[in-house]
Amino acid sequence: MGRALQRAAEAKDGQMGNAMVESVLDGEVSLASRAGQYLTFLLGAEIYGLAILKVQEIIGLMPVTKVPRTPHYVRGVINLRGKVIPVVELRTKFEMEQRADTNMTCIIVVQVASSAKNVTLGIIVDEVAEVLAITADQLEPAPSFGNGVNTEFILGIGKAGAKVVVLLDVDRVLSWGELSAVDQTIAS
Amino acid sequence: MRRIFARNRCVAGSLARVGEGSPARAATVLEGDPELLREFIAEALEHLHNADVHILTIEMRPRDADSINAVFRAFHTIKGVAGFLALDEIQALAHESENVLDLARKGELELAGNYVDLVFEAVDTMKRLIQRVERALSKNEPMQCEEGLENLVRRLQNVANGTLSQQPGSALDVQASGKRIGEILVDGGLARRSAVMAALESQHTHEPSLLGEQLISEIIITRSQLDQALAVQAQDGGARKLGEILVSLGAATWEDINRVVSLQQEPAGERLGTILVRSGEVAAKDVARALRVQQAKPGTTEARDAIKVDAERLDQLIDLIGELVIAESMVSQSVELKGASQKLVRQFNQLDKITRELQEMGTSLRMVPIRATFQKMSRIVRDLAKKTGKKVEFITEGEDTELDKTVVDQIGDPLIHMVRNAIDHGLEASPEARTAAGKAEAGRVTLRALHKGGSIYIEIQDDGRGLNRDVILAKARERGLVREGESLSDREIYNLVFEPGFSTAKQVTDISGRGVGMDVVRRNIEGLRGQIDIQSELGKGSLFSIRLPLTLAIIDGMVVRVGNERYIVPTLSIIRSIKPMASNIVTIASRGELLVVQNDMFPLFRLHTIFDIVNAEKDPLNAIVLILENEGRRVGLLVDELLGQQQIVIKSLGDSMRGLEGVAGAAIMPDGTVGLIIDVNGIARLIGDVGPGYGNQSSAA
Repeated sequence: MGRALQRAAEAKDGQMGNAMVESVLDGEVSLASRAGQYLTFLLGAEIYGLAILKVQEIIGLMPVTKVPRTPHYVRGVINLRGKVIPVVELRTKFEMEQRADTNMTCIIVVQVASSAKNVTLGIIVDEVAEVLAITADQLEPAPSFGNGVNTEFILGIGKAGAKVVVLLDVDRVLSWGELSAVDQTIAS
Repeated sequence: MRRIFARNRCVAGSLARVGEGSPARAATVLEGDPELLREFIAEALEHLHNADVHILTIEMRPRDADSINAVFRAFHTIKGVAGFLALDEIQALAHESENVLDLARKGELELAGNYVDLVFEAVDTMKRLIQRVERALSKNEPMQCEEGLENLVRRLQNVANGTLSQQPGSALDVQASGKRIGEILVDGGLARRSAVMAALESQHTHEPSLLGEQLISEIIITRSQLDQALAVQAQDGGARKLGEILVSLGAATWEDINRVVSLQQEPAGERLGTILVRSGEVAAKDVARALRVQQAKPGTTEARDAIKVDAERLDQLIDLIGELVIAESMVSQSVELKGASQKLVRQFNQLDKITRELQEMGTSLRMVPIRATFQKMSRIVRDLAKKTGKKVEFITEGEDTELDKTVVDQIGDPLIHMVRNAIDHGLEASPEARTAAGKAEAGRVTLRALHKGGSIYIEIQDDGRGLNRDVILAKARERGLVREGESLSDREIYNLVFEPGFSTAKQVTDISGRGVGMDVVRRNIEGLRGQIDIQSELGKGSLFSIRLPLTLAIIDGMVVRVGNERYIVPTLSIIRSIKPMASNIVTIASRGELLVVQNDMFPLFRLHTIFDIVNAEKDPLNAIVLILENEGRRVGLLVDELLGQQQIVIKSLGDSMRGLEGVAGAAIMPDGTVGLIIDVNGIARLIGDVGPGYGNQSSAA
């Protein structure tokens, strides 16, 4: 899915349907308000960005305790200075192929707005890249891929030089009902 | 020379009582009875000096009547003599100051803040005025007028008539978190360190002051009166006491003498500020400013007040302390430290000690005495006794026992229930029934809290009828909880009262007897990770004993291994562990498994199946079975290995993982990783086919 996103983003200069243009107009205000600083990280060759204000800290990979009966993309829980927080594998969440952890693998600790209050959780990524300032004119709306591809969790596509960054809406990527939902495939 | 006052514009003029600018004025000063003037100057300066010390006291205790009186007397005396000597400026200043102090004396005005500053200013100005008179007198020259006197007098008038608003006094610009007064003065550049040291020295070697000196400092007598009295005493050959002589001379009253004598007998120890002011090292005004700095900081004086802290912050602090303990133990046990120097080892020991203390402190932060809860019970007992017509002697013990705040908050309802039960069911129906049973009319109900073996026990004891084993058993059979012919121990029978809907009361009252309650009581107590137990003797009474953990934050846990995973099973719910043999395990329809131990049978669950753990031990014969009990239900749980028992700090898994079945929470393991705590009930529910009472039925099978 990630690749597909990227392909779509690369083809951004190409034909944009009328429907697309309309949605751009609709989203103009909120899109411009999404300009700002993003922490970028890599999943394979793809570059993703998280709004910097959502990021609490970046920590090295540490032993993760598996939690039974959770969705497969939840690797488990870690001890963040006395607080137990869940960690999520973004690769698995995006249904990308599994890859062994490397020295560069790390955990981005983010604050996710859930229904009641903020939840702290870790996101395992291949590598943290840099902090990019994305201006309003570097922003494109999330492209549409037609049926079957959910782009709800994409804030927009950022172009920084030659790089194309998929800006993630972290609140939606990991919408919180999901974690506690018992994965029936495991329970069987 | 500026004219200041209408009558006599300045001191020199008033002394001379001649036209202004006349060179003859100085001569007039000397003519105006120099002897009397000198005496006045000496006396006034002494008064003012003492007044400084008293104003300092007022600064700290604005309503100190003795000090206000002393300062008032100082100005009063000066005013009188100055009027007599026609020193009009001095008289005017003294008059206004006296007015202000008079109001303070009557309690109509509080001397605090800028008012105290003003009084200090009055004293200082007065000192300068008097020194000018002295200079004029000794050097035989015209006197200078005091700048700003008019303004000061006006401000004093404004205080007296209430037009000058009260404000906080000026404080020194010194950071003074918990500093001592000497430090503040030195830091503020107001005193030399050596002077403060000298003052501290004299503070320690201070001897009780002589009666005469004390009286002078209180501005009750003057030095000349003292000299006079001492001379009289010398003439008498010491036959009379100084106080007596002073009274007979009319210099002091018995009341004053007695008060000062009692002061004298108090352990002396003057305050440092007072000593510094007396020695002339620091101006009293500056000491007052330093005192304000000192008092402005909370924690120096009344730090014993309780502080309300957000519970979440407190928990965060406790979390961090827990992390510190882990980090500390990881560092101090690291391999790199092998062969470390003695010094380093010592330092680590010190660090270790501090960390442990911090941990204890952290745990104690959440502890509160159970007193308030017990007091609430007293009220309920009184009301109940009235309602039921029973006589009850209610005794509470161990009210100071400290429990976790959460426990104290949640134990109230179960306790109310049990106390009600004890009175309504436990005690005999009436005082007459008790008398007939050979007991005192008043039933005795005791509520006590105590520490025993690392737990806290709350016991409710009554000397009533006791539980009737046969009635309970009959009722249980009737309800199908116990089968015919099944034999139960006393403890098992008593525990039946905790079954839902179980009531042996023949009559339902509005107090108790509906059978809802005891099961709720047990659930509440188990929710607090406690246990409840009943001892009873028919006709003698019952004892309900609640065992609670010292703190909710820590549990005793058995760490078990399944495959590569580690889990924690609360020790409280473990009955025992066995290494099963083939004969112990019975398969039912090749789906369910039963563990048969002696005559008991339990459903057997494999943790690795429930949690889908790979590379776990599949053969039960190579594994271990833990027999667990929760809410009266017993199950067997298959794990690979027992790793050992330890105290574990419980953590929540957070909102995102709430409702995860089979896991009760998380814990930080000694190596800093997270361990998961097994929820025994949840596991039973996961399997799905275990209804309430399963354990009882299986054991009856």
